[in-house]
Amino acid sequence: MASSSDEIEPVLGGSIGVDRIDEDAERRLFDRWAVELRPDLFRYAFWLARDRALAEDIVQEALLRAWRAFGGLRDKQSVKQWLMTITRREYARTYQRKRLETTDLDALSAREEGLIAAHDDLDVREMRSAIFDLEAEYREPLVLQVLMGYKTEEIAGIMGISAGAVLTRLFRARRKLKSQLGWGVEE
Amino acid sequence: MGGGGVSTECLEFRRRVEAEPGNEAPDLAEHEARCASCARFRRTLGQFDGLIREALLVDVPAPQAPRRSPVAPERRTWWGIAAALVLAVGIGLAFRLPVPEPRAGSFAGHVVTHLEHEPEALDAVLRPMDRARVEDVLAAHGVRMAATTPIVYARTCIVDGKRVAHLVVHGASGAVTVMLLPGEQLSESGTFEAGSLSGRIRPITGGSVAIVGHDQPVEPAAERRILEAVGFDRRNRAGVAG
Ligand SMILES: [Zn+2]
Ligand SMILES: [Zn+2]
Repeated sequence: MASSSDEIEPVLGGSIGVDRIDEDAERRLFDRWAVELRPDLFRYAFWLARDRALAEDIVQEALLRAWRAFGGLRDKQSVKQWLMTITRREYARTYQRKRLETTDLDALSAREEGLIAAHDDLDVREMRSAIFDLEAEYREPLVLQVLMGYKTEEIAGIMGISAGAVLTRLFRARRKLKSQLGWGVEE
Repeated sequence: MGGGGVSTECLEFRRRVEAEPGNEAPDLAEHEARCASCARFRRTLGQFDGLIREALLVDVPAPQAPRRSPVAPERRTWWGIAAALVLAVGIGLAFRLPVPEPRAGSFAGHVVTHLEHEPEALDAVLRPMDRARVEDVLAAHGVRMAATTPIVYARTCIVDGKRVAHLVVHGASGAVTVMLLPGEQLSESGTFEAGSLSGRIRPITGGSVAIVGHDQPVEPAAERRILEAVGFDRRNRAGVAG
């Protein structure tokens, strides 16, 4: 219950000079992770927001926030999962602010038509369009599983739902895409 | 209803594989080995997933020019100094054990719901509330908090029908939410996780406190600093003792 300031501010005894060097090294490490993980973060943000410009803003803001809180994690998987969570939260914040603009699916797909069509394979283009139209609750676990390679338990952790719920959504997501693309359920 | 030999076992196989095409459970492999129809189903599913993957791999734009170097002076404050400490503790993150989600109806559950509905509280990280307003809220709850604690947000809120002081401290591990419940020592204590939130509820002298991290768990050192900095006035303690 002490209220004296010296109990709150840690006294670390390092000189300013030493602190400076450590921070530069930390910064280089963080930049390396950021460059390496940015494609995954961008695609995750894009498939959440379905808006390229918004996804870029979300990733940039998430990296900025992450850097402010960066604790020098050395393990790539934990850095990645941590950044994914920050990106997800950043999306949620943005979505709260822009709710009205971003729920118009027709407007969204019209704006991102170029991106959906940017593939020479017709099957891929159709699939991209079908995923674009999928509800968020099905789209997100699919991205986390197929693109990011996360296991069910990890997806449950990122999304804050049970593993059972993740499996149900993934199953339904594929069923929806199959029927959308006319793959049918064989036999 | 198709004309093939699709048994209940086959349907079960397909349901599980369609949720997890990479599932390598032995019983699935065993079924696949003796059921040509399901083996074919899984191969086709593999192609289908390849298509999904290709579709998800949208082009990534080149990075925008950074708005400014994040190594700005603000990082050299309370938390900047603590960075080295966090560095030492941060490694622990990689080895965290799984933490339960809050039970429905628990105080932790109410805290999570409350935070999800008050996202603007975290925006105070960018625009801290002025200290006088913060002090007003603390006084209203009989809360004492060391003057150097970087409180950026303070509000009286109702959580689970109880009046709490809802604070945001911008510390070494980013924003940390601190919910102070005066005069009541909750029997419920322990850690919880929900989405990007992870926190701990514990009784302290004169009441209870919930400390919640937003994008990562609260570093033990940061949690300790908060616990050391906070206290309730006597009138609350008397209430608990009675
Ligand atoms: Zn079968
Ligand atoms: Zn509140």
